[in-house]
Amino acid sequence: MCEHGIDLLIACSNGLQMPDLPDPVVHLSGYRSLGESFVLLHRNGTAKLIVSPAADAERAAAWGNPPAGIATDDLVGTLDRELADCKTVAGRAAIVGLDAMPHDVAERLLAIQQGAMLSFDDAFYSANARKTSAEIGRARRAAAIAEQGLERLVALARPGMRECDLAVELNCYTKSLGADDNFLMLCASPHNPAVSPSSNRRIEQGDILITELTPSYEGQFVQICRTVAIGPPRAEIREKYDLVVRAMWAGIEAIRPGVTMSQVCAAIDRVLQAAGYAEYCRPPHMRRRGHGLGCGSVSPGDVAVDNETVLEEDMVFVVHPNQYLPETGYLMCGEPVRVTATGAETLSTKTAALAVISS
Amino acid sequence: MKNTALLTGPYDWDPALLPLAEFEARLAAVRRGLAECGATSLLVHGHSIEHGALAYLTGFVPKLGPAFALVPREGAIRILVSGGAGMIGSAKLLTWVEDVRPLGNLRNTISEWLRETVRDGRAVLALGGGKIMAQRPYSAVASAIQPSGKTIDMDDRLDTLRRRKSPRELELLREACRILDIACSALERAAADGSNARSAALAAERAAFDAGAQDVRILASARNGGPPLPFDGPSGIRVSPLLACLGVRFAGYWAEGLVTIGAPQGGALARAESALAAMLREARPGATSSDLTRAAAQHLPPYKVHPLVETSVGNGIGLSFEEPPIFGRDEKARFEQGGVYTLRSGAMGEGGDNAIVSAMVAVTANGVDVLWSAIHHSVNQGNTKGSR
Repeated sequence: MCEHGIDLLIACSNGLQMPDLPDPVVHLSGYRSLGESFVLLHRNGTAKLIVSPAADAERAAAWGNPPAGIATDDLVGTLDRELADCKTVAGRAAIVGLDAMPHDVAERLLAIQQGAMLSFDDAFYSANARKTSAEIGRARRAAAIAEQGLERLVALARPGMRECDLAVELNCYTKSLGADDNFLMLCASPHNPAVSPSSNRRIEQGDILITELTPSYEGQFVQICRTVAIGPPRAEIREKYDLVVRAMWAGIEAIRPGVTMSQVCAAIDRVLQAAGYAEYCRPPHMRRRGHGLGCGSVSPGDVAVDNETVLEEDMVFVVHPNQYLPETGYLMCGEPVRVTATGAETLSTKTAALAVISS
Repeated sequence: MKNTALLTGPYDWDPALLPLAEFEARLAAVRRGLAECGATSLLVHGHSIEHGALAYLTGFVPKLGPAFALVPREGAIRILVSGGAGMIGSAKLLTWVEDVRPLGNLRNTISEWLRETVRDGRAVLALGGGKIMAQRPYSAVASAIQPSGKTIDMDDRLDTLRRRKSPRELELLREACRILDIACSALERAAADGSNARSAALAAERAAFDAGAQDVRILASARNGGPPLPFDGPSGIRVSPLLACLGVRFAGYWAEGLVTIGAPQGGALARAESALAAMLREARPGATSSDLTRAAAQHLPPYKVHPLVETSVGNGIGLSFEEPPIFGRDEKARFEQGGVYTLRSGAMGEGGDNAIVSAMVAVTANGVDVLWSAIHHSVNQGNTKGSR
């Protein structure tokens, strides 16, 4: 803020905490709001949290030291009154997270400073791109929950079961282990065009079930990606799955401080390109090879050819080649990793291998 | 209510629950509304948190990012969804609409569609679900329409159409209430058996899913008599009284329940229940927000109004968890025959002597049909199971 001449930063949240989308309010305050919320951060270090709805008053009142949280049903009106009390010079206020806010709230926010507010999204997350030891501890716990979730999946998934029932069961199970949410993609088909949210379709013998298990523990999401054959898989499935896993490890082995995310992506792509799948390393077959893990900050962003973010120790993200191949359909493998001083540590203990369910 | 990162329950469109004819009738009414307000076409938006208007017309529930229904005055509807082309097969299962496409570049997609559907080039685009649209897609929509047309707000008209529930919708709401009842019973049993608040809530959630729920959200006290809150961490605290707010969804339709478990005899719970009973006696077509709050207020003293119900003692409920009118916030709000509402009361005393209760009602010609009530669920300390 000092470097940019900013007196006041308004961080905005829409109340939807996602594994791969940043939430500046969570990042600054650790507070996961039910509805839209703001943090007002002044240059002198003082901060105020304003959350909705008013019914969340007890949690909000306990926030901060000294307590400085307000819960309200009139979010922008409250913000307006708060800003009237501080002498912010027009043009010296900045905002982050505006694009995700409902547009009527966004318009009223912009009107507060007659539109003279600097968009601060790009600079905001780079300042604190590394995870703290507490966040890494939560990520380890979330990874353990994800792995237990996978064990449960393998124990339960059978032909005749609906995808959505399996997904619900896994959500309930991971919550019983301490998860507070789970971005759980799960679908099955003999030839998956992509991973999708679960449908009412019943799993069949011969399906390939693909899943992203993404539990959050105390707000920190972690993801593992896995592939499960329902019944003995064709030799081709095993062969191509080995290829995708090799590509994943090539990416993980490329990780170290000073390397860019684009280089990690390139290491994955090289393995697949060498196997003759260059055209499948581009959209629409592939968008990214992994991503940062929130909520809060999702630095260092996507494992993608156009991401030049330089890796630092204690950054955490998931590496997932997750590749569509014409012979097999979409195959998934992915591990959450922490950047160490010399390389990468996988946070999962049993890394991706093709699981087979024999009924 | 707490948001969730990804909806995972059974969301595919089931014509046995909501037949195509139901949607055709809705669409016809909406198109009449478009003609009345001079709109050439309608854009209906929704996202994973709020998608009532979108689901009303199409059945579609967005699970990943925003989605839009493009509705011309005549001809086929198109749905644009977030996610890649590989996900379209899965997205199509969620709706009766056949033309489902990836969102792509929203500005270009809408511009092109307007060129296809608006013959004289002067588009008047009605917006549904516009108030909740995020700034980025709103800017794209505004920029697509700007060169030759304008937007008008369709939310109030859509809200009016959605307010009166059809017989089929009422059946689905009854089923949501039946599942809510099962969830509340499971919560009670788990609390009575000594479970902590989090475990009791998980037992209720599982019971609701087993009974066919599409979605379940639960907030519960983190301290004795505390307000219902999300579970921020793996708290193992046993809480009494336990105040909980449950949301249960079936086939798109929400039921809400506020319950208090383990409250002291003759305290806040008795007042809250009396206040709710008074509101239920008052509820009939034409009854206003003021009628309700006045009726409730007589039964609360010396207890105060619980902060949870201070600004709203009820609202419409259906495809959205909170639909207009909001009783308490809008003094002129009135009950309408055919509407379904959730009504809440709450009393706050000293220390943990606090209570919240609620009821779901369908307004009939002469009064209300109580679809669900917490009065049978909220349990006093010392009551034994089966004595209620």
